[in-house]
Amino acid sequence: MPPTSAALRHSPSRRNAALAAAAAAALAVGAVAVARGAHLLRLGADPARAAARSFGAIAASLPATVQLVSCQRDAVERDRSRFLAAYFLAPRTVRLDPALEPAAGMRAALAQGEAIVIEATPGTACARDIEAALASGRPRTLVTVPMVPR
Amino acid sequence: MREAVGLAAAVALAVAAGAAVVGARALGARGAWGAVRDLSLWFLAGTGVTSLTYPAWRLLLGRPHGVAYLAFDAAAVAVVCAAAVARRVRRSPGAAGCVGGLPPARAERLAVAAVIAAAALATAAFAVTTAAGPHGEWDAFAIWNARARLMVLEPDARGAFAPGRPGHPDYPLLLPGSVARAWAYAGSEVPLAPAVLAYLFAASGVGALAAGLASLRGRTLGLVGAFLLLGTWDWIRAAPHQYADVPLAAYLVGAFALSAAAERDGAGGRAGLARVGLFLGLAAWVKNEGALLAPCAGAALVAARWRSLRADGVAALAGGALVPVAAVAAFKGWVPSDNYLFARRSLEDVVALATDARRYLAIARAFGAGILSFGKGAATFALAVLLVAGAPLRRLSRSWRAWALGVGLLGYFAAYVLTPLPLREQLDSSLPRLLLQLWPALLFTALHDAAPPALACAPGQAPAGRVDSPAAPAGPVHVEAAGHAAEAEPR
Repeated sequence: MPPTSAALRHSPSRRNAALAAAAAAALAVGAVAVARGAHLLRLGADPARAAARSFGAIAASLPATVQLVSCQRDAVERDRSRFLAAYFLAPRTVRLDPALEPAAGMRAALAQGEAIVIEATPGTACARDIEAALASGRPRTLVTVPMVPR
Repeated sequence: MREAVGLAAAVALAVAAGAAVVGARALGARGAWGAVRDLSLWFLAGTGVTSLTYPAWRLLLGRPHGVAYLAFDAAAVAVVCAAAVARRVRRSPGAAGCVGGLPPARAERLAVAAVIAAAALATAAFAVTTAAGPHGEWDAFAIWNARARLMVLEPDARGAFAPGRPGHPDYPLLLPGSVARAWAYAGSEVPLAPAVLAYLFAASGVGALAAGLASLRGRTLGLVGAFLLLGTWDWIRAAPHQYADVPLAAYLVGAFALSAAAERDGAGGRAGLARVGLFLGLAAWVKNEGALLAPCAGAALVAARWRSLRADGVAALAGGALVPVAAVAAFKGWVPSDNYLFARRSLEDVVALATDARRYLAIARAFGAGILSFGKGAATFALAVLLVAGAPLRRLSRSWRAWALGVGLLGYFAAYVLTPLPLREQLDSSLPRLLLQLWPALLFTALHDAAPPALACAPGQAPAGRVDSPAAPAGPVHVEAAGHAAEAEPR
């Protein structure tokens, strides 16, 4: 047995110090977690919550298949948008072609003739591109939801 | 109102089913640690078993009416409870070790207060994070809760599992089944249901670790285990995100704690082995990674304890796992496999990935960095605590639990080697969660099997009946057995 162990076995103070150190770490992590959660809550910036409000309000009016056009540029963020939409609009099928830019996506969605959900922040260049593309036809249903921040 | 009642009924029925399945012996346990241990294991076992009912009902009988489904579940749980009582499940001796021994020292009373404070902080963190994001994070809304919503809302239940539906239709159903069951009771898809389940899974993981250690190795180690898990950032963060990695980790650490209890009970531990099998099987019913970890743990247990287990012990282990493993097999056989790791792969592709040395190097680097930074340093901190306490880490090399975790980690490594997805992206998004799956079980293994002398039961508080422990100190043993306590000589 290492000398340290022998010493510690008869050293309650060292043992208590180890306990105290572990407790301090646990408390520190907990405090940071509370602060982080409270920060999120204060900002109201959670994307799932924002999406819940946006998609949830429109879910009842949509048909079985929905084309999603997203202004998210990052591939991961676009995937996230698609999953969020699929979750809140379930059991509807949500389609999002990851290869298409928003304006091209809008034109493709119009060609499908299904409901369209646009995720875009009004007034942005992306939203204006989509509006221009929209001039080429009318979708069966059109809903715009604000793009949710991460 | 109905939502709250339905949610409460879902949890209560699961705990009752767990009590019947895990064993009436636990009813006789006394003290706070015994209650924590029993409730943790009951919730885990009961939630796992009852998660089978919703998918089965939905697929065989259609969409259930909430009240009828609740009545059916209640009747089924009542039958299971009656059968358990009728069997007069043997109450295990020595359930508490040194927990009920000497009066707690002042330092340990302070430590208990600190654990309670840490648990309160973790609960507060869960509450405020859930309030900010009640639907959880990526995996929750992309996979687990999405599957639950599809099961509940899809007019044709089979459509929920059709290829191309979101949420990986071939992923196991313990979590979606539990959420769907709670929603069916509640009468709506209330976001509180998956959040409450996520909290209880996380709490049960802490409870199984801490109370298992306290029962088997002494209160001090139980407190250290609770500290270390409550102080792990990834655990605190993953719970409100409603990730399935937390339930998987809870089932794994529950299986490890039950296996240690079965070893303590020796030849009388056959029922305990069946419980180990049940928890390992349920781990496979939570996530695909569980289907890797469960056989690793089962095989390591059999290989290490073959002499004492013999054929009937192995049969007990396999028998316990039978129902959840059969559910996994039936489900996987029924659902068209769309798993990225196995579907649509050519042998040439697999060989090309397996022979690319750069992948091995990249994965090894990521594993090293991931382990060092896991939990924002929690792993490093835990290791430091063990070293400072003089833990003989070499004892881990003789622990089958450590071997099981090591082989499981190698399995994860192999999965990364063979993945067709972009390697860096997958490592970044999944490695911390894979490490989290193993973390509570690793804590249990390190603290139980290596048993630092400075932190194990104090003299006069030796764990009861632990005959093969290299670190069991000498001294009188306090035995708490089935409702009574007695002093016994150490074995």
